Amino acid sequence: MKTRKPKAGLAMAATIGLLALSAAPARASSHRSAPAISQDPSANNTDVYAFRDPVDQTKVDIVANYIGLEQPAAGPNFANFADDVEYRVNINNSGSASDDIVYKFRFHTTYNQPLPFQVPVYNVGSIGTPNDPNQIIQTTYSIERDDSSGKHNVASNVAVAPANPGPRSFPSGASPTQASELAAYESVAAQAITALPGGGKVFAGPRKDAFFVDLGSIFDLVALRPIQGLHEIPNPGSITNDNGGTNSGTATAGSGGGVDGLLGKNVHSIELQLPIDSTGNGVLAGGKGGTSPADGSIIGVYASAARQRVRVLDTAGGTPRDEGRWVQVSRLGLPLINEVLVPIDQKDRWNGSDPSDDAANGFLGDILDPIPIKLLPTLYPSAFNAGNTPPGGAANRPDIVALATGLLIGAPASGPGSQAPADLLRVNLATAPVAGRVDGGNRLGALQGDTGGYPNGRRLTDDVVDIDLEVLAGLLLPGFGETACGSGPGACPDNPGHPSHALTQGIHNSADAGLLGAFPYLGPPLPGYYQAQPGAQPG
Amino acid sequence: MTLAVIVISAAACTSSNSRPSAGAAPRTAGAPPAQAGATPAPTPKASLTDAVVALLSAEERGDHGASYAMLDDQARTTYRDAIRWRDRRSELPAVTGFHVQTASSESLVVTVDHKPGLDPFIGLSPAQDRQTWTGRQEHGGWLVDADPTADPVLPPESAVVPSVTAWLKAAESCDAAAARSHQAVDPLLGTGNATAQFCSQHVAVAAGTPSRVLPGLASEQVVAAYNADALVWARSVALTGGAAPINVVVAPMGTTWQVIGVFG
Repeated sequence: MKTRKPKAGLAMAATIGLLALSAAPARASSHRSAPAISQDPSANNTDVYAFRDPVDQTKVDIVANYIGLEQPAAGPNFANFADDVEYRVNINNSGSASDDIVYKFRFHTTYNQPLPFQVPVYNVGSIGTPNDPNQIIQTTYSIERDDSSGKHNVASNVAVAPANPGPRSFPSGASPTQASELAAYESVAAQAITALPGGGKVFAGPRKDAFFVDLGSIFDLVALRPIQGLHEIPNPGSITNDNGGTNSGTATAGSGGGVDGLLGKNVHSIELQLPIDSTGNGVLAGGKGGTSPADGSIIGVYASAARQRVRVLDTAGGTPRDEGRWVQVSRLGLPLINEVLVPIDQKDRWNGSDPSDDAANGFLGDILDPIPIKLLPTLYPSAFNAGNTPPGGAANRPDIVALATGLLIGAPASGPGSQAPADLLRVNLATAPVAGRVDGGNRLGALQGDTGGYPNGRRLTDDVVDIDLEVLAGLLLPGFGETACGSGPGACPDNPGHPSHALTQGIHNSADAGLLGAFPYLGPPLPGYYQAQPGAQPG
Repeated sequence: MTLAVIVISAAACTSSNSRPSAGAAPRTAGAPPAQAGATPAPTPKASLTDAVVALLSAEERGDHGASYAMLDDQARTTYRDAIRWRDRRSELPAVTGFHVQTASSESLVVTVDHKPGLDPFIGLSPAQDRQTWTGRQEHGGWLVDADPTADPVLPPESAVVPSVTAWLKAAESCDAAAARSHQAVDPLLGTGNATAQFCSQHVAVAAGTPSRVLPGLASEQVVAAYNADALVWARSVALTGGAAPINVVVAPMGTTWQVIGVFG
């Protein structure tokens, strides 16, 4: 059994909702979260990350991913940001859950036509720079920032990093490998890192999805491969897992044994690195220094996408046009909220609403009473029962309340620095950054006493699935995952016999993420050419 | 962190467990304070004209909180706080001045000034547009509906072809800087590096009547770049005499037209 315990300072680690324990037809984190947006991948948020930059500690990094489950081999029209979508990164710095700062992104794709002949491919030669003349399809974008001082045009005609067709497009010598190709690609993509007037940097383009989740098993009636022998329907057959072995069905938690459904899949990312101050592109409220929650050190982040409210179809067969106000069609803050905790008939409504309305819209009630937890006694009857499964509601789930109000990361319950309850990914910028380990060594964030990880923001390596599984099942609740000692959640000794300690998807990191050591941190997108080897690891 | 602290927050969240039906009032007594930004109270005026003038004056100052105070109840259901109102106004050209044209008891026509420009987020900012505002008598006076109708005041159509001609001559002279002075954007939409394409060539201009952009690649790209309003304000001029027909698309920039795209 695990012996980890959150350390004082972060107090405890609980998390909201987030467990991939639903029979609903959704995929974690948010790759196909709601009925409507799952049919609109270019506007579909998949994950959001926010963390204080471990290299430049005066900055905070915000990563907003869209278009989940991208196949690398998808030419000639590789996945791309859409011209008719307004992508947004929203930041609250007042504790109110409102959109105090909004970064808007509009993309524009053109076809590079002055060629001897028009060819139906992405590029006609090697690519040496973003929007290289050899690219038939070229994409640029503009950035606007709205804040209390008004509207600011931050940048325009910024180049998007190109797609990654393969080693002929990004040559790396006479005997290229996937590894050398990726290096060649990244030398080009790095040119798309753009310094912003007012401070900070931006990057937009395809990346390797760093999220890791056992989509195949979890969405087969919420089976967790390492403990699938405990499932109501025991192991129906063996499959080689990511460790190269098979599961006996009684594996010890944390021993691995899952299959990463996002292995080999790319995603599209908008990445911002912004100053931790109140000038220019700074994320702090005016007059705040960010030295403590009372001094405005906590920001809340969510990403969203909007479309214009009216679509006019052309009976003559022309391209539809969109008119009118922009209407939000997708959002994502904390991981796995919409896909797992929001009822399926409310998911599209949730996507169209703002976090500041989560309480009024009843969504906090969903979060505080996680339906998936109620399924545990049915799905794992030999492990969970009515007596060891936490009941829902605010009074019974102080751990979740503490997350939704920022208490877990140091926010006071009231007064300056307090945070309104909302689905925002909150990060306390007064806390020293801790780099995520690519080997998964600190994948459990605060559960391992690591104040630099989830739920204090979210790093690219944080295992939010396991964290959410365990916490929602009661890992931090006295009388459940902890012994009842008279203190609050996260402050009592472990109760190692509680089954929350055994929950794991069996994946500790993304084996092919190829994370970088500095901004933009997410690794290069896998090339289409090498997808010929299903499941292959980077060479 | 103490248990007491958590319990206080837990109590704050308790009342959020029931879901209001769609269209229900967004907040109920006892609901936790979601605090979605300030909501300045309505400050009705003696007339619709006074209310609209107050709203536009506040917008001219960039004071969205003050302009929010002029919104009627219906507008406040759409924009429930000043931050949402600010977000909506950020989608529109900024107000730099305005002049009341005609007023009635039910509506007000105002010419509103803007800094001319093109922006991927708001599309065209015309030098002027003609806005028709309506409002209601509420709270003891007049308040304003949020979104007026707006029609851009465009330069004369007769100026379209001369603008295209000036750009073309500069391009034919291989004078990229001069060509750019007749462009609203750089690079142009459509054909990549169009200026270089015309360098040292001579193309007869068909000085026909300019038209709105027609269905096809030009309209798709212009709409994608500047929203569907472009179908109202953009003009297209056909050039003939080269190897293939070419259309030059222009946009109204203040009192003149400037090139925004070249499409083969």
